[in-house]
Amino acid sequence: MSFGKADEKTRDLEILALEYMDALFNFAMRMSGNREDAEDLVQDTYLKMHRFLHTFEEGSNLKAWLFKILRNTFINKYRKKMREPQEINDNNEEFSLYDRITADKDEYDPLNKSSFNVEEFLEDDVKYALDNLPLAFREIVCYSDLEGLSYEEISEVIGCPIGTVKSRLFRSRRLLQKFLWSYAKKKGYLKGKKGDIE
Amino acid sequence: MTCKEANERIYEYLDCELGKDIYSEIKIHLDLCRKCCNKFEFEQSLKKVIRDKSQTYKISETVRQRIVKQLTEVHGERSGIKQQTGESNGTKRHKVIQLFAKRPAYLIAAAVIPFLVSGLAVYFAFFRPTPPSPIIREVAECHDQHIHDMGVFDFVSPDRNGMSRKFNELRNFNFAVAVPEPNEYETRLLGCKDCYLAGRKSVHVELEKRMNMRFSLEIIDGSEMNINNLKKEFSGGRAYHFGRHKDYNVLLWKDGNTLYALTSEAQKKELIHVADETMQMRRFRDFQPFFPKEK
Repeated sequence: MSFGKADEKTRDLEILALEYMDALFNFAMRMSGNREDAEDLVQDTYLKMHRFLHTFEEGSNLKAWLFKILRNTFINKYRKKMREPQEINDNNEEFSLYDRITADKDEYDPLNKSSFNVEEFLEDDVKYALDNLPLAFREIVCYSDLEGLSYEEISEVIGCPIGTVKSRLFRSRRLLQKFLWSYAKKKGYLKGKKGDIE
Repeated sequence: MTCKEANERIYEYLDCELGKDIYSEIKIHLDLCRKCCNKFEFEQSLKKVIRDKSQTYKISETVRQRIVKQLTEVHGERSGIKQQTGESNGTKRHKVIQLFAKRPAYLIAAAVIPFLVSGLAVYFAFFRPTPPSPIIREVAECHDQHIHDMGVFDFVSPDRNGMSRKFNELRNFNFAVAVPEPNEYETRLLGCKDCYLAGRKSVHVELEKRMNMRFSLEIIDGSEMNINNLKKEFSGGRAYHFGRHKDYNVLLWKDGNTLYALTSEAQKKELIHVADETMQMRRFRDFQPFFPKEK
């Protein structure tokens, strides 16, 4: 089958876009939490991409564009989920895992094996902490830490100015650290602190 | 740079979102400040842990294949439509083409109907047989009558002398009654008689061409007759009008107020030939037929 010049171009873009399937699926998994929904989301994303590829501006970020489509698809499909209360005790903005760990010490010494090492966190711990984040926070951590999108790309995906991205990312990380902290205490990674759990 | 300033930009630093200048400023501060350095390192390693230890999910191969297949199919469909409709891919046009593709009979009908309609239009405009006009019918009937009672000509009343004088004049022409003597003309006069045509008195002249082809020439007072709506053909600078009835061809022409009607089984071409021959003779043109007045 022969394609026209324009068709060839879109075909090339599509082939490029297929490279991001795993990343998109990963993100969809994290947002929806189950395989079936995530697969549907990714499939819908690619069909929508095909339909709107003519609106894609050449030279702009394909990956960010795909994430934006996926995000909008997710929001449309799970609007209810997205509307869950996002404001989880915002008073802990200043929570810092590092500060807590070093609270009873003069200094944190990464070389000192006796003190807490972040490497001790297991996959489950991270998953638990991530899954407990409200969706709005979870997505931004995913974009930044997991998918490695730049602030500019994130602002493109979620349609917010970069300042908002920065502050939301900051709050998300602090909240994530809080979950990790409580998890670590529960599990006893942090010695002698078991009783601290709220 | 103070520790506070550095800490405010800790994530931007770790996410590599800072400009060159401020990045190196913080780096210098971190080299100098052990406390900040530790904190930055802690956050750096935490970030790494989150990335490394968060489970990565892989899409199943079947779903991947399904998506790739779907995209290819959608592509095929779209280029298919493009090929069918050319540049414009309006859905309406597409539907029309689909209809024809489904029922080829429609396509044939769509191709044939215009031809059929225009053919019929041409037939009715130019070739439809027009019923002969009343004058043609009468002339043909008259010829039909006379052709069966051969030789009964009287040269006509009420003024027989005048009539024979006229006839003697006629004799000087080609179709003179002098039957025995052959002459240079093909046509000869058989006889002449008083007649009625279309409710008027007329002169009936019977002519014969070689091969016993008989012609009737009616000479009528055509002052009130209009024959212009009959078929017309020009020959020898004269407008001849045609008609056909009962297998006889009828040729009509007008000369002044006199209407001549030549009738025969012969072809139209031959009729014209005879008519031309008779009209060629100048003196014949001076001959004014005698129309006896009704009592």
